[in-house]
Amino acid sequence: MPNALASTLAANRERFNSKFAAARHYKPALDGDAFADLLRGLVAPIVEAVHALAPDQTFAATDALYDLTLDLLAQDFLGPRSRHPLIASGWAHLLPKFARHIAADPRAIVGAITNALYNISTTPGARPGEWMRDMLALADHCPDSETLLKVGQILSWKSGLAHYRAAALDLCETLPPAVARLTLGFPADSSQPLDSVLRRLRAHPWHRPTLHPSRSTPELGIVARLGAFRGFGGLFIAPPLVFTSGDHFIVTDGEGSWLLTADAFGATFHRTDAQPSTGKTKSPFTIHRSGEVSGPNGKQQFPELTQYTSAAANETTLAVTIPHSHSVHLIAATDSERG
Amino acid sequence: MPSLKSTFQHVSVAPTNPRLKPQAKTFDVADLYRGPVADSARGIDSGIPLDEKLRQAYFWIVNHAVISPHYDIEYNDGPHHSYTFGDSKAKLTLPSAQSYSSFILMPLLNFAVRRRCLLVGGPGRGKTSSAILMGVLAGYSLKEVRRGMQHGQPQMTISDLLGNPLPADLVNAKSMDEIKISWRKWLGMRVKIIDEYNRIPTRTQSALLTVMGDNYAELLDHIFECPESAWYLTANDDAGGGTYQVIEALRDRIDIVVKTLHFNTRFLNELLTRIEEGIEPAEVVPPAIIFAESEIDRMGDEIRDVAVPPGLRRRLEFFASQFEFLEPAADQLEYKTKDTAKLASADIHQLSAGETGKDKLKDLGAQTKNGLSVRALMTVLIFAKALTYFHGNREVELDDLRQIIPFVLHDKLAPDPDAPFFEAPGNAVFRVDRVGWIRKLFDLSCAEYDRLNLDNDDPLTKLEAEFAAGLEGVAESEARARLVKIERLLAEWSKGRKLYGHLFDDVLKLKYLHQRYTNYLRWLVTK
Repeated sequence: MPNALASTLAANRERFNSKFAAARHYKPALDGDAFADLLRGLVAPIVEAVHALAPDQTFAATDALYDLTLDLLAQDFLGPRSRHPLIASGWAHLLPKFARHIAADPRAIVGAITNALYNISTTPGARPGEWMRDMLALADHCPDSETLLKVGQILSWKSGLAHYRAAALDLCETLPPAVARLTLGFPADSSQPLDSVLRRLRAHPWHRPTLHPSRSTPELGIVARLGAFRGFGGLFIAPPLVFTSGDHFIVTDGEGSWLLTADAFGATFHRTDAQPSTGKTKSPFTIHRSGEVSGPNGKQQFPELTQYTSAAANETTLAVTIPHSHSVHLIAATDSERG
Repeated sequence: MPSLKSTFQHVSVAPTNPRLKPQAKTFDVADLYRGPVADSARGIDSGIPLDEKLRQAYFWIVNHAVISPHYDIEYNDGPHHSYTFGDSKAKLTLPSAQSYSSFILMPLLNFAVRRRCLLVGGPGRGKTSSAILMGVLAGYSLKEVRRGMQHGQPQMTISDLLGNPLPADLVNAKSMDEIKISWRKWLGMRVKIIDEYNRIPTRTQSALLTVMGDNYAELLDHIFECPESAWYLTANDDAGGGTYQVIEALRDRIDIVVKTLHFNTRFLNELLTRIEEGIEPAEVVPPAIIFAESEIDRMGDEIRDVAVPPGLRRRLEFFASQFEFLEPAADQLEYKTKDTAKLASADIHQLSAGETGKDKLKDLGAQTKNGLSVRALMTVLIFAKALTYFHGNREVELDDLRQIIPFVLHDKLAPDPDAPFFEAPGNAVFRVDRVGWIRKLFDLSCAEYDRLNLDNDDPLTKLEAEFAAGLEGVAESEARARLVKIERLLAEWSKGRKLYGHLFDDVLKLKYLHQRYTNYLRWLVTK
């Protein structure tokens, strides 16, 4: 065990022993060996990193990490019985690198990152590895922990949590422009005007700001096929139907309904009791039984959409379901092959 | 997302006193940082209001820290059961609404409003532990709280309490200004604990009085301004059994008195577990119930915003008016008070015995040796608001007032144990049970208030409302008409009515109004 953690624990033996005793009182099955392993394996490197940068914060970091480790072990979020290995992975790979930010507010930063790891790892379709990679790359560019947490929120949207899209774009405006450009994926020396990038992202959910257009004019294409049969790990027990709900879509398989949010970075389904919109939603899309789709940039034939069972559209996207598929097909006009 | 929480630092799930249905949730990117670790996100509102946090703190303390399985602050929401036991017909009530333990609740309310709380009771009953927990709730570590706690002892000097001048400066300084003072750290803390305050020598008590009363410390012409703080004083025996007599001014500064409740032996198992497992509750206070300084400030503001409806304020006025009046104390009406008798070192009981014609059982003022000070009334109001806030309401109700009054007036109302009331069958117990006695006083006062139908028929209220509308633009004829109304009312009241405390205050209020209108008329005429 590195020195900083060991010496802090030894100097406050009564306090830390009492915390463990209280934890074991309410959770008799709490495994002391597993806890010691977590302290040695996960907590010690973080405390050591904080100690190296801010020795006066060693106790605060130890205290917060000790509490959180006990808490998360008791709930099986850490330790041998954990069903969320990404949390331990995040603690091991991210937190020692975030020492500067942890030193500023140990409990808040470690707690927030832990919760983010949990949320991203439990959202189907999200890309936690990508989120961790980008957080590591950007942490040193963040002047303070508040900026780091905002960057984390924006990156969570870019890693597949499409329902955070609008709020994430708003957050971009609150960051230093250089940090915002880096977060959106532009290189450090980029001089892209942030205003126009954000305006375009707000107007076109299928726009990827860092991809060069491969088409001179946008063309209609299938930008996503979302959802699958429950027997194969998906949501739907039967081929679903789709309806509009404001800017999003409601998908139902007869047993349950989900709100679908989707854009170029990912898609998420959220169980809902909401009813489809009764009014007609303004949309430039129409679809014919033959599979021909008319959109803002002309027409396109989609043979796989013939005899579609339901279709719904908003200003930028057409959602279509077909008889023999458990997926929702999303069609939009894009200026690149990937959509 | 599943609802996830720690088991061992378990904080009661909000809402702890459910009332309103929460609003439907929309997508919020702040949710990214909400999950297994509760309330970790800095700068992101957890959505829990401070009264909710205060209740969570209360429930954590009663469930995990101080074993106090009592519900003596009783609230009822509809019918409730009660049972009587023994020859004395001791009554046990099963409250039908959320009820609380005064030993935990009162110190917590004191924490919220940053006043001065005295915890009294025998040794080893949890007084100091309870006070230490309040320090931890304010964000201090257990070590800081323990180091900041002042232990009363017979040799305690002013320097022990406040600090020392630096020795080198004492030798070299040519003026007081050049002496630097090393102030004691506890003076800067937001929770101040004085353990066994009745063991502090009298001279040092005076220095303590300045800090407690005026929030600053003074040493060799140097001043230390203390932050606004919640004070906790403990005493094993509040009835003068300490090493030193507590100076009256210091006692008067104490806003609320809480008595330890006995240890219920059926909970011995909890004690055994603590011994065997080495648990120190103050070391494991969950971060979710620790209050930032700004939160305590905000909570204080929110508590001050709690409304006291006029009807209830009037009931409190009626109650408070019972005690100061002492008819034989003076010739002029204004001086017919217990304060006059006290200043003359007269025996209030003897003076009071000379009164004739009044029903001594009905006259609540006959039960006390003193009246209520302005400070006591202000304390009643702020603690009533705090209890209401804690309870989740924003307007004080009668029950809130009824529950808080005994604890605030505990050391403020001195009973006259020889008063006829205590001789009446069943009332002897109130000589000993101060909380029960004050609550009984309030109940009797409310019953009299209802009997007089003052909620619906209080002529003075109408006159007050007229006056409160302002004198500007009031015509001479109208002012004269109001004077006549006042004179008629006084004439009517003077016909054969016994003069009780409430009437004494009403009569003087009428005199005040009469004088204001008289002065106004004179100004109007000479204008």
